[in-house]
Amino acid sequence: MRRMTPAAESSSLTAQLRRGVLEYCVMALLLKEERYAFDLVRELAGMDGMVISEGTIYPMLARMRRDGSVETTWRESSSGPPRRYYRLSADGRKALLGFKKEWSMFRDAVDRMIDEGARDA
Amino acid sequence: MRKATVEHYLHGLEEELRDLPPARRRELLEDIREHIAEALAEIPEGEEAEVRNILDRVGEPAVIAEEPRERFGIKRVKPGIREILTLILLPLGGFFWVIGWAVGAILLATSQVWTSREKVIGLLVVPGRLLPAFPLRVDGRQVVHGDHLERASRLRVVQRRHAGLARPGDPRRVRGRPDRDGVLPPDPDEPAGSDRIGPRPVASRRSRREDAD
Repeated sequence: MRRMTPAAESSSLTAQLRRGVLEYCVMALLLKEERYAFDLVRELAGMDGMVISEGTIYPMLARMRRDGSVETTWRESSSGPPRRYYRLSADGRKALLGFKKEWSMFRDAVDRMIDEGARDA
Repeated sequence: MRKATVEHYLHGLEEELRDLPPARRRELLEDIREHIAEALAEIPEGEEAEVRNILDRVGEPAVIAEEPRERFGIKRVKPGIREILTLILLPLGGFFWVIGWAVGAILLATSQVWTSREKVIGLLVVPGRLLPAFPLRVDGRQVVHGDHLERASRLRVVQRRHAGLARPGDPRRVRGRPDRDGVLPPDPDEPAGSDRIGPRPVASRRSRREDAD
């Protein structure tokens, strides 16, 4: 294995963390209202460290459509090409609620460990 | 201009995605095409730098392809000796021994570099073009390139000869005199319409002349 520089190591760590949670971030963005793909992708890409580039979000959106966590409809747009709107499905909503619980337990556990380690050091 | 830039980008992306299942590839290309169209609708016409900026934000095709490729468990495979051998054996293997082509076909089928579609094309197109030459080569004669009618009449002559004579000098050989073009009169023993033009040995003009001498 190649030895990674600390910078590359931390960015790959971010990549690994991101891979697990990005889907739920999309679901969270859709919890209140439906959004069209471009709008959704621009918002995710605008958050620091969430995605590498806008294009990398699309494979995940396609997967979510197949999984059934989101549903989509095409609508005409007044300003450009037709838009694909994403809406959270009932399954998606359930998955998001499950994740929320898991995530806060996980986050608290990691925080506790990191904090305790920092106190001892 | 901006259309060409975008098409160039999408083409590069398609290349990067080529080892994904076709349906997934199309889906992803369509999504990203929509995204770019939407982004373009926001900017004034003819701003080349803006177009570049949009494509930069969409990202490097190789990076976009990374995650789905990983998910589908596809490793990027570089062409090696197997692929070189395949490319030699498929078009040329048939000329010498069928086995050459067959080995090429097996190498092609088991290669991880080409997609299933490319493999099917490789198997169909190559023998379709070159294998018809194969029985003729085995026969030791060359195909005569000429117009079909000419070839058909020559075929008839040759087939008669093959059917009618055992070896030169055989009395059965001369059933009728060939006319000036070397075409024999119809064979009374042969039912009409039995002239089959098919993958029978074809003689060249030269070998026919020699036969007639």
